[in-house]
Amino acid sequence: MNRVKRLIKSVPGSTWAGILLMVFFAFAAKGYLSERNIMNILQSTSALVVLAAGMTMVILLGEIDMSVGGVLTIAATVTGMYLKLYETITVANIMIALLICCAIGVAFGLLNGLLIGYMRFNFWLVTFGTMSMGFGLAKGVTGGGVLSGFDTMFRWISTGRVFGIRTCIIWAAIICAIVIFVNYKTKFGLHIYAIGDSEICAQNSGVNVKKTRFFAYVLSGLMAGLAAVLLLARTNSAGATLGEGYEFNAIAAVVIGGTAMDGGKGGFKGTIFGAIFISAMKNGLQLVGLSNYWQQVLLGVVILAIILYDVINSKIRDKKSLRRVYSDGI
Amino acid sequence: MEETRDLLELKNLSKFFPGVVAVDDVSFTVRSGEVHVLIGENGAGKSTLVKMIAGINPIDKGEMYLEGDHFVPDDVVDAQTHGINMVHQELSMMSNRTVAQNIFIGREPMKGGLIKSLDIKKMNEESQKMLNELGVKIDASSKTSDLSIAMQQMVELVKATSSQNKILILDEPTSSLTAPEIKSLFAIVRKLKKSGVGIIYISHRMNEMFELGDRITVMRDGKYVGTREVKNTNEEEIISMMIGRNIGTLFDRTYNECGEVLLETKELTGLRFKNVSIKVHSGEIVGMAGLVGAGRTEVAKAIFGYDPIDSGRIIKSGREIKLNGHSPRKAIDLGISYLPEDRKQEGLFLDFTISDNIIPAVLGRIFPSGIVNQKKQKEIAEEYVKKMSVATTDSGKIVGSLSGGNQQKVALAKWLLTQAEVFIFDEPTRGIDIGAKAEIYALMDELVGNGAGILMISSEMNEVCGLSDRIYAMHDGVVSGELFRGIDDFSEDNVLTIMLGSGGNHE
Repeated sequence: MNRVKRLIKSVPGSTWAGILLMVFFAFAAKGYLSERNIMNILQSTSALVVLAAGMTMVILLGEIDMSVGGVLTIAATVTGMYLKLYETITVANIMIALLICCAIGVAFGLLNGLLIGYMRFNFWLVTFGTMSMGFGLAKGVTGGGVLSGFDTMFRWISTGRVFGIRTCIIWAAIICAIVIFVNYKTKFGLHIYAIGDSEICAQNSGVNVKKTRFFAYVLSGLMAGLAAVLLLARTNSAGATLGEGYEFNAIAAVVIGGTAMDGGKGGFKGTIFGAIFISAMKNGLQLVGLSNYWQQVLLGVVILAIILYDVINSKIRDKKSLRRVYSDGI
Repeated sequence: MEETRDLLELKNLSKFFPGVVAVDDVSFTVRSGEVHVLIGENGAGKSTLVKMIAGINPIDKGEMYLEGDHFVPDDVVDAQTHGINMVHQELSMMSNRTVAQNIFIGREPMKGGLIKSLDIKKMNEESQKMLNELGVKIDASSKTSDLSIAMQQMVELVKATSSQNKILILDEPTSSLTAPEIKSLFAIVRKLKKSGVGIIYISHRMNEMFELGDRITVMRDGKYVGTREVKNTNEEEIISMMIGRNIGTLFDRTYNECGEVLLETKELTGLRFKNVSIKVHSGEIVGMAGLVGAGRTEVAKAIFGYDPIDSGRIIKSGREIKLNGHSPRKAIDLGISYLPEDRKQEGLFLDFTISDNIIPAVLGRIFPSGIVNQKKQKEIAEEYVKKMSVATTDSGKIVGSLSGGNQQKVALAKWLLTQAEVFIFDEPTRGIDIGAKAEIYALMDELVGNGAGILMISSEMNEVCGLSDRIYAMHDGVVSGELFRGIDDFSEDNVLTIMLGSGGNHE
């Protein structure tokens, strides 16, 4: 009995929420667990999980990159404008488009990284600034309009099929695999944890704190660029509102995935779960006929509930372990 | 022991911080295979000096020679690659990482050709080997936060010895350890010493330095005072070198008749303490001795209404008070004040002016309407600045720019202004110079002379023994003994024995 209890308590709130969600929608929404719908969910996860990959690195540092939605928007918009220059698209054009998209992402990442990593500006202020720049530039260059109807060859990036699986899912999976490697298997990944856990300790141990922080933001920018490609090719449209709210969804995915906001704890594997969770929930709510606005509200409620559950759980655990340490004679 | 030779030579090292000379023209040598104890009062510049050697603080003036070659470390990594490692006073571990990752942070082993990845297996194996070699029984793959403080300390030591080691600096490594843990730490230090490492050992404990040390270097006020061979010196000589004056005058007290009981706890039990029953009378200074982590601060915070209690009672002037972790405000209004141990984090608003730091605890009392009269505030602040002889007359000065001693005076002024009856002072003289210490001691004497009661938590044994009317010793969350001046042996050794829980002569 005790073991069952312990097992139940060791499961994080997000997993419970995920299970509840599946069961609920399996009954409430017809065809929710069908192969087609699951593919739908994964498709809409693709851009989000890539965006959240960069966000995971930054949050593991104990900071936040608010700019990713804006960066995604400007990257997608400029790339869209480039594609619109041509009647017919060649492979070379697509390569250039990819390059533009990633370069814009990296450029913003460099700016964030330089200001925050090397010059130690406050990360909130800097990324709010670059977020505003991203959205503003997108509005400026499009004049507020929407670009749509891109070449099918470009759209293949997201809407093609390989072995029956949508290409955007495949790209996202490849990127996820690389980020998992970076996160868990490289020096860079470990140093991000180190800084998030104890910056002084990291510094005293010879970790290059500035450089590590710099590259975390660069990576986040690059991921925003890659997410922009996937989203642009999938939605077939670009405009100043394309990435609106994406930064919040990315943060939500990271948090639901169990990464601590003060850094040093968690990891990208959880974020993948978190991103799928968000898409799955939105999809289910859509199927039962709830509007976008109410989806937003419910997402907020679910995040709060998950956090509340985990906080209460860990408080109880902490208290117990403190008592244990104490009774051991410290 | 192998033949010893000079390993590290320091020549005229100096370090300047804004407004202070933290290290002033210090020269001495460290030999291979010796434990070189560095001692001095808090604020004497020991930590700053060793941080210069370890490449953390840049050297402003002076030269360093490592094995005869001129060497001034650029940074921590540079010092480490030249074999200079340091274990810091405060634990600085990454608590969410494994032991192995902590040991190898900054120089992780990699594998693979073009795309390199962390060699976690090698990291674990090598860490385990190092732990085993030094006789530390820890699993290298376990999470650091699961270890006790003592074990984490051992890991830090292993971490510092893991790279090629010539000089090892230990900054008060025993400050949070119990007696048996200290023994195993000493065993490790002796092992390292045998292998020819030169060890700089900062400590406050006399018995430690005489047990472990080969030579003792004393620092005072940032200056080098002298170096002695352990076998040619004794405690008295070292103490007088450290203090530079007679202890008797430093702890000058007028002892008062004790009055009524001002504060009493009965069987107070909380998260880190159990059944604590103590009394503070009017007119007495009650010392509270114990190791870091013994639960002293936790008791104080519970009395002050900052932390919750599980059971037991707190009685102020005959009336039971129920704060239970809810309200320091209420405690202040009832005449209890608490000077926290960490003035920078808990005691002061470092970016505020002196005046804004002195007033907050009594704002509501002085300005009942809720509207702050700037002029009146300034007058009050200036009165207290004068009273406390803070080194500036300008109450508009930013507190963070003052020296440690003056900061502490401002922190004290805040509580004097509350006109409390019971003052709980947690490490009231930590990290301040001897002059400011003497002034604070005199102030405490004056306070109890006027009928207040003081509960003083202190880790400085000479302070506890020199100043208190009565001493409670705490060990592992319980009061392990009570000593009365004039009745019991107030020597540091005796108090230390009782607070280490190895039996007391008064229960």
